[in-house]
Amino acid sequence: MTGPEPAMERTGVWVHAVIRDIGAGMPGAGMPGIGIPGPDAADTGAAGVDAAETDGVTGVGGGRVRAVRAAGLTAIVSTVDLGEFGEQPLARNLENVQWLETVARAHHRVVETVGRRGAVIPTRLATIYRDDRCVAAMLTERRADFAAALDRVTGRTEWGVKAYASAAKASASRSYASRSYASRSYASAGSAAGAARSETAAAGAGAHDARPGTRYLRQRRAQLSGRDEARQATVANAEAIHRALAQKADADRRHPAQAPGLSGRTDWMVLNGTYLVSEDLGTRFADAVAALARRYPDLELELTGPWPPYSFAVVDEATDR
Amino acid sequence: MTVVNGAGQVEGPASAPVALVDLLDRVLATGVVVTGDLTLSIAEVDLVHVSLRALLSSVRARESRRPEVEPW
Repeated sequence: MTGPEPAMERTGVWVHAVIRDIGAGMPGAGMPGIGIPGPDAADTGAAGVDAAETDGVTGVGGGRVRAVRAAGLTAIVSTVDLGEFGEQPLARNLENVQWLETVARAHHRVVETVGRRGAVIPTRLATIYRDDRCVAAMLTERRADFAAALDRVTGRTEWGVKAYASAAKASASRSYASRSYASRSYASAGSAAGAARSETAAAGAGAHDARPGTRYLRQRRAQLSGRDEARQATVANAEAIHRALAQKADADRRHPAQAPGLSGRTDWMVLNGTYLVSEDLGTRFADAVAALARRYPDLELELTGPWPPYSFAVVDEATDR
Repeated sequence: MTVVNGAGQVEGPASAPVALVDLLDRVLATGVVVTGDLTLSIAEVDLVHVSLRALLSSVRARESRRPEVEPW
């Protein structure tokens, strides 16, 4: 950390978001807290407007938020110290949750602020360029992609809906399912053909049925099958919820389920969906979520949003996971 | 059902903070994928994994102070 980084600039340019060009020569016009560089300033990276600090909008490194304009687009950027954000320090720092949280929230604040003004394409965390010129080159090179992505998200915001099979509800339905299966299995003892599952039949048929060990095994298998069945029903309900919400959205995506405990919950997350919805239909979407929560009482639904359209800002669909 | 303001509803920094894990779903896995020229070696998958590992280990540290709850 203390050693010099030879042949490397001291600062880099962190890109927060890309928006449609916000117009020339009017510092801060229509964009509270974010300055627009004058024609000469872009090269030096020194442009920016004092309003950035007064509005409390600072970039990830705590610095001013600036605009880099090219190809009819504006990139909202901030300058970062490469001692902290250079390739190697960045790899180290990403392992530090406090650091990651600070940076992610700072990035989000900027995206959120910019998004209040109009269509915004947030860039993924840790998109860093050497200087403003490189950012401008990137804007020019990908202008068609950005224009298409901006069209896609204009007038729309993102809503997240997570579904949990909460521990209490889940174990209740689980034991119910287990019980019903166990008794059915027990009732069919003596008739191998009546056994619900082939492995149960294989485990002990005919004369051995009455033996306690066999009975235990059979009940245990039935219990596990019952649990499977309960899980499948839960998954099917989550799918139905996702389909219903997708119909109310202009686009939908599913993020991988968050690991149990990550959000402080140990409940099983069956759905981590996110939906692109017209701004004026946000309330209706929230109502739909509430209605689904009533319809599927075994699942707990959590609605978050409105978010800037993070999940729908992908420029290259091929790189989408 | 919980409703959290992610953006736009409340002006200024007074809006309810979003959950870090929900934010990371979005800022790490999505957003425009343009390759910054300084982060070439931090491939997108690496970025997600590295950060998730950090998150999980912080959660484990927290969990170890609490009794285990068996996940489904």
